[in-house]
Amino acid sequence: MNLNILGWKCEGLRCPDFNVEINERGNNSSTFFQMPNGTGKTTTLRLLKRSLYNHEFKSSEIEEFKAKKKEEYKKEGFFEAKFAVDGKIFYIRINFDFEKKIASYSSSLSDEGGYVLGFKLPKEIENIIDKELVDLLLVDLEIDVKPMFRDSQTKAQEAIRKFCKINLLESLINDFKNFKDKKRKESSQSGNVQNQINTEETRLNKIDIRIKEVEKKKDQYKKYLNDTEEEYLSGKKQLDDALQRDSQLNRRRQELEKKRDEVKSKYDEILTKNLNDIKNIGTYENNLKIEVKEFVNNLDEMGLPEEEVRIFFDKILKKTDCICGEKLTDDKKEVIKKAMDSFISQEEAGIIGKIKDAVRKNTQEHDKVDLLANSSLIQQLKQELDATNENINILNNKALKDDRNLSDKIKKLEKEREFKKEFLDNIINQEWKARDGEDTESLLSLGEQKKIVEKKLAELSGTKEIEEKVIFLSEIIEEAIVASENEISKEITSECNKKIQEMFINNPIYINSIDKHIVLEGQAEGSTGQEARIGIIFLLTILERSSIHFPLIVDTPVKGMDNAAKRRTAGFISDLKSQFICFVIDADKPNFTVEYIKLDKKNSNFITAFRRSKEFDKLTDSIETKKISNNGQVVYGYPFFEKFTEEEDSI
Amino acid sequence: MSIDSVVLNKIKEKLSEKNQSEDLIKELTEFLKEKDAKSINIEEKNQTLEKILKKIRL
Repeated sequence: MNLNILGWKCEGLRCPDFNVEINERGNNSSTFFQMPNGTGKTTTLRLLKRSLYNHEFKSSEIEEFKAKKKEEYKKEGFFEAKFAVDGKIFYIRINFDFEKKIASYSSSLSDEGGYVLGFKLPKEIENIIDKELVDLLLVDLEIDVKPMFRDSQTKAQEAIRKFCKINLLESLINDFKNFKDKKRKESSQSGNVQNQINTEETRLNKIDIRIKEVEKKKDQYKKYLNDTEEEYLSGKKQLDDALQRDSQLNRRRQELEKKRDEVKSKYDEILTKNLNDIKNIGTYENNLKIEVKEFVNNLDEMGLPEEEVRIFFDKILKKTDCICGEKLTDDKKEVIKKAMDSFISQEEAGIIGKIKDAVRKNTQEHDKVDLLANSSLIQQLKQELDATNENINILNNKALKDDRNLSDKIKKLEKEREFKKEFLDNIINQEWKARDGEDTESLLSLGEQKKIVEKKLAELSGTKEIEEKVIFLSEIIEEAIVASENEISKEITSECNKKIQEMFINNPIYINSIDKHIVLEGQAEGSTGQEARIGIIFLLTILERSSIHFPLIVDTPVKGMDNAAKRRTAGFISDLKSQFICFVIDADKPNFTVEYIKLDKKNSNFITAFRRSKEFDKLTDSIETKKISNNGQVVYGYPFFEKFTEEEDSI
Repeated sequence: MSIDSVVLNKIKEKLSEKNQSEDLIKELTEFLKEKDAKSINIEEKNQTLEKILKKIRL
């Protein structure tokens, strides 16, 4: 199956009115789309994305698409995208009503003719394309690639699942689950059993609702971490720079930080020692010591645990018949006596014996531990630590007096980000505990609770066999999911590293592994440019592997790359089998499109789109391959693409 | 866009490790390929799932 974007048309939006035909020159393999900054690259990418899945537009979002220039404002606008699936053309149109702040879809499928209201994809792709896939195929390398590299994020794993269709196994588990639920519901019971079924069904429903809530929260937190990362890191860097500006203050702060670390280490040490001392009950005076001593004395007086065992064996020895029914001869009694002695000696080494020994030992070492001395040292170190932290804060406040707002903002952001990271890393992954309720935020626990309720329901409804078979099969499929992910990740890692070796001649950064996110070799994170390069390598590798013939659309494909990397990216693109569209600005052309044109075997599209001005209109006077609207122009062909620069008078 | 061969191999491998019949493995992988290629109506889907579950050896 082959999906291509053939073009798009927009009117009355914040970008100029453009009518873009990607296949204007008879091919649709690679397209380089040059747009000056501020002409609507991001708007176009966002609307192309939303043309491929049914998006619910919020009124605030609709406002963002509205024309900003007063003279260009229209009450209504639209974005129409033209696609082909296996050569069959279809259109998706997004209609904006800026007065009412509403947006609606209409679709035209080639074999149905005319527009119909609503969002509708051709049946060949309606089960394949969804938001997740579109988000992976239409990417802004600066924004969308980051989540592939961050812990707490799972975009790389999601990409592998989606492109290699591991998701199909998850959907299979779901099919069996639905089938099992259907069977259970069909088997109605009477009276009390049905009441119990209803109770458990209600509980199951609550668990399902909770899982959905937590999943939603998880997605929101991931998005928050991703959206605020740039702001947090750049703010933090700005604050670090400000702190280091005053060398005297900086030196004093470093001394204080050294002191704080030393005090903190001593403080941690005494806290641990104190906790261990408290665990040795009996080594210090308190009520528990008296109680424990009494407990051991009572055990001794009662002859426990030895006496109990001896009574049991004595009773057997006095009988003529053994408890197994056989006659008790002298020889057999001798064997039992030996067993009794051996049993008692084992018992002495048992748990109660250990407790008794520990209590005796600890109470004999009376006054060995001085908890009062511990407590006073803890207090002293705590005061010292607080004072040092306070001094550091005073110094920081002094150094950051001109950046007070930024400092407060970053502190707040840091706190919020840590809270959300804790949720994603720990809270949702906490093991199930018997006391957990449906209000827990642990997805593991909710999953476990769900299994328990479903098991109970299967017993009550008499569908235990189906339930067991579905659980058995689901576990096998889950194992296959994990094994597939591991193997595919290893293969993709190795394939990406081969490309990295070719692409990064100097200082290559390799991928160590791809688990939930891409883990780089020897460094926690890469720079924006490094991550963009590795991100595009990852996407290209995964596209090649999946033999997916869907378009890859990339905004800023070479941003942050050095010249060699730009040239190699051009090489990779020329080898791509599926459609590739990228948005560039004039600064991206040297070493990228200039290099690509030398390798181009596909007669690719070079398109330039810009907002009309007198100067630009003059430049295109003699060009025929162009489309002009009242405020925008689309010009086709490499010669104009090559010459065009953003400074209007320098072409 | 078709299901990755590693995914199909792994599901076959895991079912075989759990002592499941060749017949079941074939039925399940065929169903997966069908799911991949087209949307299956619920009735047809339930019939296949029932057949697969009958072939499972616990």
